[in-house]
Amino acid sequence: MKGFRDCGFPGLLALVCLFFFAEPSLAYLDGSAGAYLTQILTGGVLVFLMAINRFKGAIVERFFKRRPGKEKQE
Amino acid sequence: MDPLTTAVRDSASFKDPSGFVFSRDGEIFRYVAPIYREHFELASGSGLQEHLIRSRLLIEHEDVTGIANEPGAFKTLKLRRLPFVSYPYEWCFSELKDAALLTLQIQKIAMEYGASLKDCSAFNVQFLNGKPILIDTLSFEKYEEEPWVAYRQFCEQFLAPLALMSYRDIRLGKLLEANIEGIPVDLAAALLPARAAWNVGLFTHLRLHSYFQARSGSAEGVTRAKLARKNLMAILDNLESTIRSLKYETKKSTWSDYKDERSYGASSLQHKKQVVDQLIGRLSPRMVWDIGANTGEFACPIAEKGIHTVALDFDPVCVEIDYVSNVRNRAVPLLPLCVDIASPSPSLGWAHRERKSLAERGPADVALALALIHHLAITRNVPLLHIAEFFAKIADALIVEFVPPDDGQVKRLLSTKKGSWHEYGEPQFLEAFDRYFVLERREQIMESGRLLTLFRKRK
Repeated sequence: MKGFRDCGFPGLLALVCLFFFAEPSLAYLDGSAGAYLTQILTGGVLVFLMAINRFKGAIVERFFKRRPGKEKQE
Repeated sequence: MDPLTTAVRDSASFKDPSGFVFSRDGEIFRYVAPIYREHFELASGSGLQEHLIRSRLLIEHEDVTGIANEPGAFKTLKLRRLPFVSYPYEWCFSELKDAALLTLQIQKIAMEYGASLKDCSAFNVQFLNGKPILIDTLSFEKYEEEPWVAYRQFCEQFLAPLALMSYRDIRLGKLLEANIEGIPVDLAAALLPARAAWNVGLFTHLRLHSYFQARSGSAEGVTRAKLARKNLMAILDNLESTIRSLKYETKKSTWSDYKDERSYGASSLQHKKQVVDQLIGRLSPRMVWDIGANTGEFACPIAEKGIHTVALDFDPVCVEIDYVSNVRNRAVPLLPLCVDIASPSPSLGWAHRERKSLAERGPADVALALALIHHLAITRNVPLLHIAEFFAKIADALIVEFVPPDDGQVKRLLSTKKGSWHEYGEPQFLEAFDRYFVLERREQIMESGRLLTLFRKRK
């Protein structure tokens, strides 16, 4: 995983979504904790994206590519 | 209480209770406090220190505990002396970028050995023979699966200035001089242009980081939080790719094309290079400062002889070109720095002693001031006597190129100059420098009215 840029826009979207979901419960934080919180959220998102990246081929194959059997039927 | 009795403690080394740097009989040592024992034994016993020193990522040290331990110390380490200490606010874009990448590389290696950097101060990185190197042996602590304690410091001391230099203006590196603890992430986020938001790394580590920092309340819950190793590794990878993605496309500045726009011919240049080379050979210096070095045309050949050379120029574009073309990927002892000699780096930090002024880091054995004096005297209105006085503080010998008033460059300066300036001419120049220096040699540059002079400081 070289970073978010591997996943581009979906990565940004995932981060923003996570931020909005998490935000209400994080209202108690102060400035010194901001760095920790950024790491916790970013680390989670990055690992999530890494997992997606790892299984990307299988997901694309499963949902978006025509299987040889289908082509024959058509 | 300071346990030292015979040694002089480094004025910048007071923040970390784990130890400090001191000098004794002209040599540099590090005092390691007993409270740092566990972490020091981890870093040395695990092979981390050896790995980093072998890879030239960490400054070498020799354990002299058995022969010259300081009272109360757990260990006393003798350190390699650096020829010159530079500061992040003097570095160009690529120097800061290389220092940032070094820090991340060290953090990743440290994690393999069960350790982690406990601070990420850019001041802990220095340049030795053209390469960045970590100088703080006591920066490591035992790694726990929790958020990286130095993350914020990394963002403020490396990422924020690099982002601003890349996205806004390379001159914003000087913001580090006003913010020696780093550029606050909220300030960086405010100064970055909107298009920087499309860089997801910058969005996360600066904008989001800044947003979270602005929240109020107790930090208790988060400081107890855990962060898995793979999550931290992902963050480090992301920081690295973000830093690597930041580029500075060299743009033309007033001085970056000076080499192609000089007012004298190739034979004059050749003669000038020969005379400078002869003078350097005669003086056999260990440390040379080239003041107004531009892109390092004269500093680089000196460094290639193995002489430690600091190339100072106020134009960050020139310094960037010098570093990228002459230093990076080459093991030459050349250190290009962004310093305006008319306003040199001051003493900064706690009690004005934490970061030394340029003059306090001298004197150099030899300073070069080639085609510089007329800029200081005419453009910056500094009297020749003041120039001579300051140069006597920063160098034991001087090689000065004096550009006469009828030279095209001086005429150009005078044609755009409004108001008054101090008297400028060869007699005034020689008289002013005679007050502090002895003139040892003067030679007119071939096919030019320019004068090359060698001065030695009066005893």
